[in-house]
Amino acid sequence: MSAEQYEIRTINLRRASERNQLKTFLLQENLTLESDLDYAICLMDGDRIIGSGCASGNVLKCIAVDVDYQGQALTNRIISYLRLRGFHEGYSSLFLFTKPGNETVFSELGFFTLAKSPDAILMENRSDGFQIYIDSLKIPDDSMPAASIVMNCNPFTLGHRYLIEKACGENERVHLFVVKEDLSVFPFDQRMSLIQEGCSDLKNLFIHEGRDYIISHATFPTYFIKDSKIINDSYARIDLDLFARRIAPALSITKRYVGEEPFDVVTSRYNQLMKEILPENGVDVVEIPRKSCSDGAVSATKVRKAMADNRYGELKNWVPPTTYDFLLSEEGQKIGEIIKRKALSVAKESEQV
Amino acid sequence: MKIVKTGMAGSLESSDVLITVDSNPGKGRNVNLNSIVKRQYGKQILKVVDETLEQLSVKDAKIRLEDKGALDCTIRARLEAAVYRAAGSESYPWENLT
Amino acid sequence: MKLRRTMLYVPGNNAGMMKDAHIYRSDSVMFDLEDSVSLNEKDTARFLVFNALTTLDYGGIETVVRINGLDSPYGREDIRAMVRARPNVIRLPKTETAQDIKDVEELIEEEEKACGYEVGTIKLMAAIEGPLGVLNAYEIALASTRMIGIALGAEDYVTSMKTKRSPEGVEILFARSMILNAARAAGIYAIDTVYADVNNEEGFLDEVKLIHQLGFDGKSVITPRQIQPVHDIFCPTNKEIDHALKVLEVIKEAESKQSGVISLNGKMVDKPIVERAERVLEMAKASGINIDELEDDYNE
Repeated sequence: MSAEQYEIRTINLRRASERNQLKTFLLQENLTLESDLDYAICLMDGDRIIGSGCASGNVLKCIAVDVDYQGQALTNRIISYLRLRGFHEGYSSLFLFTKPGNETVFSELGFFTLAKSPDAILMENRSDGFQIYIDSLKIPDDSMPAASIVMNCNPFTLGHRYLIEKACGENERVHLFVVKEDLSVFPFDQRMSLIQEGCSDLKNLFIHEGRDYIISHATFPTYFIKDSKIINDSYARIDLDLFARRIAPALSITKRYVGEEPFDVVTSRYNQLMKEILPENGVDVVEIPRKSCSDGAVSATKVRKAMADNRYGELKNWVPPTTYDFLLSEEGQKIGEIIKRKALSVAKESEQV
Repeated sequence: MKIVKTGMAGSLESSDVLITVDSNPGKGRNVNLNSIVKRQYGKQILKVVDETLEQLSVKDAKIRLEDKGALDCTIRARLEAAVYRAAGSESYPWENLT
Repeated sequence: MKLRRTMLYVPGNNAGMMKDAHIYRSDSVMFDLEDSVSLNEKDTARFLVFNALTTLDYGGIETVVRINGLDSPYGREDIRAMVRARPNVIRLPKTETAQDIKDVEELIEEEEKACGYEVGTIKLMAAIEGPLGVLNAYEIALASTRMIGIALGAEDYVTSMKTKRSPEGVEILFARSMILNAARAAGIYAIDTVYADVNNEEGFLDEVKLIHQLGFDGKSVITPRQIQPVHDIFCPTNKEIDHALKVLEVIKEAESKQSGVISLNGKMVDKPIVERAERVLEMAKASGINIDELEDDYNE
C-alpha cells in the first residue's frame, strides 16, 4: 500500500519551471531530457521528483526511479501508467529505450528486446510486433538473396531513381523501404506514390513501408531533429543493429545500397556506422556516388530550395516527369507554399539573431 | 463476444495483472501467461482465464497476461474489462457475472 | 450497536489494496469508483470492485461503495453493477438535496426488483461536499429509510467556501456541526471527512480528538495507518468504563429493590446517563476491552 503515498503528476513540458525540474532529475539519473518528448509523468514525494517516465508518441524513454526509493516497485507503477495511457491513446504497441543494464527490469514488465547498442537497448511491449510487420510485407515466398535500400524521398528525385536503378541492375531482387515517419514536408502517402510511379518500370523492385522498425521515431529519433545537428551514435547503432540482425535475415538481404552523403552530418555519420555494423552481420554496404547534373549533385534539399525560391523551371533537371507533374499540380503547389513559408520564417529568425 | 480491436486492462503493480486482448480471427484462443507465480499457480490462472472466456463466449482471441500475483477474482475482473474493451461493447451483463 | 469509527478508503482500481483491505480491521471499507478513478478507467474499476465484492470474504466488515453521481455518465452503470455485487452500503458523493438521494433510491429499487432481491437491503449513505448540501443536511438525512449516515467531504466544501483547510478546522466547524446535528436529529450516523496529510500524525490525532469531542461516530481514513489511532481515541478511558460499570450496578441494585429515585455519589442517575454508560461499555467491548473481567474485578 505504500506506493499510493506517492502521487503521479503529469508534467506540462511547455512550462519552463516544470520542464527544468524534470531536466534536473534526469540529469541526476544520467539521462537527458530529449527535445522530441510529448508527454511526461513524475512520481512525487511531496514536491520532490522521485521517479519519471516520458513518451514521444509510442516510444517510452527517460524512465528512472531515484536510488533512495528503489525496491518499492515504483518502476512498475510508472510503466503501468504509461502502458495504459498508450492504450487509451490508441497505440497498438509501445517501444522503450533504456540502458542495457535495465533489460531484466523491463522484460519483467512485459517488454521484449528488439535491438542493442553498447549504451542503449530498444524494447517493444509485444513479442510478435516485428513478425507481424514482416508478415505484412508483400514478398515472394522464397529466400532469394536480395539487396536493399532505405529512403525518405522528400520528394523523389532523379538522384533516388539513379541509386535504385543501379541496385536493380546489379541484383536479382531489391527491397526498397520508404521511411514511414511523417515528419517531412511531403507526407508519407505522397512520397510513396511518387516512388511507385517513378519506378513502375523496375520489375525486380519491391517497395515497402518502413514503419516502426526502420529509421523511425522508435529506432532513430535524432534522425528527425537534424536541425540540432545531434549526432547520437547510440540511436544510429540501434537502428542498424535492428536492420542487421532482424530485418536482413527475415528477407534474405545481403546488401544495402546507400548514396554518398557529403553534406549532412547526421546521415554521413549514419553511413559510416553502417559500414561498421552491417558487414559484421553478413550485409555488404554498397556506397554509390551521387548522380550529378550540370550544377552539382542532385538532392531533395536542392529541389525544396528551388521550390522555396519559385524556380520551378529548374526542377525538370532534377526530378522524373512523374514527380515534376505532381509538383506543378494543385496539391504540389500547396506543399510548395508550405516550403516557402518555412523558408521565410527561417530567414526571419536568422535576421533577428 | 467478438474481439474487434486491442483491449487492455489492469496494471503491473503488486497483486494485479495487466491483460491484453487482441483479435485472432478463426484461430481460437491463444493464451500467453507471464507470471511471477507461474510455477505454483500457472495452471490455476489458465483455468480462470478459460472459464472467464467461456462465460463471455469468446471463441477467437489472443490473450497476454503479465501477472504480478493477482487473486483469481482480480484476473477475472481484468480479463472481463479487457474483453469488453476489445469487443468495443459497453452493455455489461452484470447479472451473468455473479 | 454497529460501530463506524473508521471507514477505510480503497481506490476502486487498486487490486492490491482491495485484496488486503479487511486485514486492518477498520469498521467499514469504502471502495471508491469516483474521484480516485480516472475517467478512462471507470469501466475497469467497476469490474474490479464487482469481482472483489462477489468473491472475497471481508469477514463481517461493512462494505461500502462510493459510486459516481447521477449527473455523470457513470452513476447509473455503477448502480446496475453494485446492486448485483451487493455491498452493505452505497455512498453517493456530492449530495446537494434530498432529491439526489431519492433518485438514487429509485434506481436501486428498480435494480433490486429486477434481480429479485428484497427491496431495501442495500443501505445508503450521503457525502455532503458543498454549501447547499450542508444547508439541506437534515432533509438529506431523512430522504430515505435506507439512509444510515451522512458524511462530510471537506475538500470540495472549503473550495466552494472560498477558503482552504487549516489545522484547527475552524472553516469547517459550521459544516461539521450542521451535519452532526442533522444526523442526530434523524437518528443516523455522522462521519467526518478525511485527513489528507498522511505523514502528520500529530495533526491527525488532534483532529480525531476534536471530532470525537464534537460527537461524530467516526472518520473516513485514507491509509491503514490511520485506523488504530482513531480506535484508540474512540475507546473509553478506564475512568469512563469504571463509572459506567458503577452506573449499571446501581441500576441493577435499584431494580431489585424496586426503588424510585436512583443516585450515584449523590448525583441522580437518569435515562441519558444510563444510555451513555451503555454506549461506553459497548464501545469498550468493541475496542477489545474485556468488560466481563472488569466487571468481575468490580464485583470482588
